[in-house]
Amino acid sequence: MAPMIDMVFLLLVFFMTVSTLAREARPELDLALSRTARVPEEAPPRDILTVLRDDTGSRIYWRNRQVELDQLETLLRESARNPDSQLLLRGGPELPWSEWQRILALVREAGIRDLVFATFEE
Amino acid sequence: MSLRRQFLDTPEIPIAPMIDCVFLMLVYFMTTSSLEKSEADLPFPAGRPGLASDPLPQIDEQRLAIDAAGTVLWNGSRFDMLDGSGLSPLRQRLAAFEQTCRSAGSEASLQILPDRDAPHQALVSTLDAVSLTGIEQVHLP
Repeated sequence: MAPMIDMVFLLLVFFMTVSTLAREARPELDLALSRTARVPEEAPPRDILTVLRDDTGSRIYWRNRQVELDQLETLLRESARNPDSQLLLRGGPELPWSEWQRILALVREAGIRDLVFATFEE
Repeated sequence: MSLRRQFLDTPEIPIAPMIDCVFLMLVYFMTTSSLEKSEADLPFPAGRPGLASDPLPQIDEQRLAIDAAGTVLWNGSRFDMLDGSGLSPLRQRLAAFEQTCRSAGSEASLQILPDRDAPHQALVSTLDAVSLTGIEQVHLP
């Protein structure tokens, strides 16, 4: 009996340490692969913008909430009020540049300069 | 008699409820945990607005185009960034460019011009190649 309890405790400790319960809200997405990108040890406070694209078109998410372009403009202006704000841009490997272009036009207009692409380490 | 009494009086820790509890916690963490990959940060070369006090750098700017197939076109050469075969040759050419600029006393600068249908993976791979050569002046439209 005792070895089994030991094993269960070990499993419990394993799952408690590897699980991430307080993850920032964001839609699930397969990201592009990068050789130089690194997982930040301590990410600064930041807003997360995700672009999902499928056969029906593209959808923009601010954190976990779907937004339209005019709403995004307002959100970006609010975000830009904090000079330390960073914006994390998430898109799939197939996402065409034109999708980023129309979003980046709003981002630049809002005055956000600290931008980061989310990728997976290759 | 005394031995039996001693055995009966020994306090016992009920272990079964504890095992039940540990099993419950194990099942909880197994079902709620996510072992998905962590996301990595790739800085985006957004640049900053120029200031009047900035010194005028001697810049030799080169333009890299990315077409809709994910191929980088630079000075007549093609580098396929989607299958990964173009990353190493592009890195070598960029390193040579950076070296040339440095020996000439100027700062290497690149402008990346993706096609409107250029896939995001090609842009990320191009930024990888640029980052590996240490060129810091990178601009996107």
